[in-house]
Amino acid sequence: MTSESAPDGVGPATAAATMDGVNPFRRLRAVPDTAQEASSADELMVRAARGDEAAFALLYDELAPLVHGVVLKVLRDPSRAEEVTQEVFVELWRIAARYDAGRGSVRAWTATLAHRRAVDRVRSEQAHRDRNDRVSRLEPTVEDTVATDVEDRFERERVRRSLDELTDLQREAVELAYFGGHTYREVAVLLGVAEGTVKTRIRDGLIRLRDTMGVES
Amino acid sequence: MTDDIHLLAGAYALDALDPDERRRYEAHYTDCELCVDEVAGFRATAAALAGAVADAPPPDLKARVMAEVARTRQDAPVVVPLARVRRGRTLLAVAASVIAVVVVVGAVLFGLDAGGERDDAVELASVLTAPDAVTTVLDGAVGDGTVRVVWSPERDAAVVVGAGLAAPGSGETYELWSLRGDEARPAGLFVPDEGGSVTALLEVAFDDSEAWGITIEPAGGSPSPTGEILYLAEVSRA
Repeated sequence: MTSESAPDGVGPATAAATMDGVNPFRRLRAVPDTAQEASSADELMVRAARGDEAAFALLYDELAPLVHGVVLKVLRDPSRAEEVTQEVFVELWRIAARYDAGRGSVRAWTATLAHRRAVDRVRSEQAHRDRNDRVSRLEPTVEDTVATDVEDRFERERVRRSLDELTDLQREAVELAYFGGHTYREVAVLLGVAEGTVKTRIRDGLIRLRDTMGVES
Repeated sequence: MTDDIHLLAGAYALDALDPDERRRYEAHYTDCELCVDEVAGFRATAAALAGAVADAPPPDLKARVMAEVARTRQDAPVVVPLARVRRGRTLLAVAASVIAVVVVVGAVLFGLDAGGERDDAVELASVLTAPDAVTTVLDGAVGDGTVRVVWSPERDAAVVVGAGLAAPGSGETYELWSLRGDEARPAGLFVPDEGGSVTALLEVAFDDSEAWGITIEPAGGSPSPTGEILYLAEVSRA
């Protein structure tokens, strides 16, 4: 708990030296695994769970745009998004051993972790504010993000087309909940419809998206 | 109201439940096969939504993340599936390791004089020569020491023989774990001498160990591992 809460710049070199003194096997553990070929996020996660930092660095490369993208979408503030992205990855490292491949992909698990953390941050901060401020968070959509590379654009296009298949209410409910970080009760207020309606529209919308996109869990 | 709890799967997967409702749903869904499947599918769907807004963070973030990772201890490790290499180990190699153990123990016995230690030594020798003794060579420290665990389930005991081990920090000890499935059960503490050698007799109450693991823990040991696994190997029972 000391190392986790140690702020940047406060004796990281000392901490590392102490750790090496206690555990000279640290670097050795990484050797046999790093030598092996592994590229998929799932394999990298298994290796990271064994303390393989090199594998985790590769995992970071693969997942950073996903994590940062969704966190930024929900928080809408670059510096806080960066902060939360860092928290998410350190958390991912810390609990890597908890990843269970039987319950979904690493990408899904990571996106869940990132989204939840972003949403928790939004809600804890907003708890101090006037709830009316939240209206400014309306209308978060896929469109207002600039996709950088071709692959991202392709993925974005696919999702956009799938979203177009939804009814307006389904789409608005899903986007306000996921990208806007709102609870379904808040979504109900924002859209002026009954809570029960929002609840079912979110679920119906997800079922449709899942089937349209051919998502495998 | 409770009859439509399944309908919360969507809102749950999007983190759109209030804290109370989230807890209530979590209590329900882990036992509900329908919901587990649905939530998994919805989460994958949500991940696709996240992928559609993918956006690379500033390049310097990676260095900061990795620096923090380097000083962040991971949560209790779980047993990872071990490579089958162990099972393929040649008889010759196993024989060699047993001989090495006997040689080390012979040296230990020779140097003992105190009565209590002699009792331990006798017990130790009886473990090593027990008909059901299984020797496991533990992985994980190429060039920085070797550890062997000789275990006799019948005698509820194991002998840890190691050389070239790093000294644990002050207020710390090595701890042996008997691993079975995802469970890690404490199997005794040991501290190497100044030269990094150890021959320790440990009481092991479990007769169903599938693998051994070794971590460094605070003095007195821990009920479940908190340190990283330094050595690990499947028990290769005949």
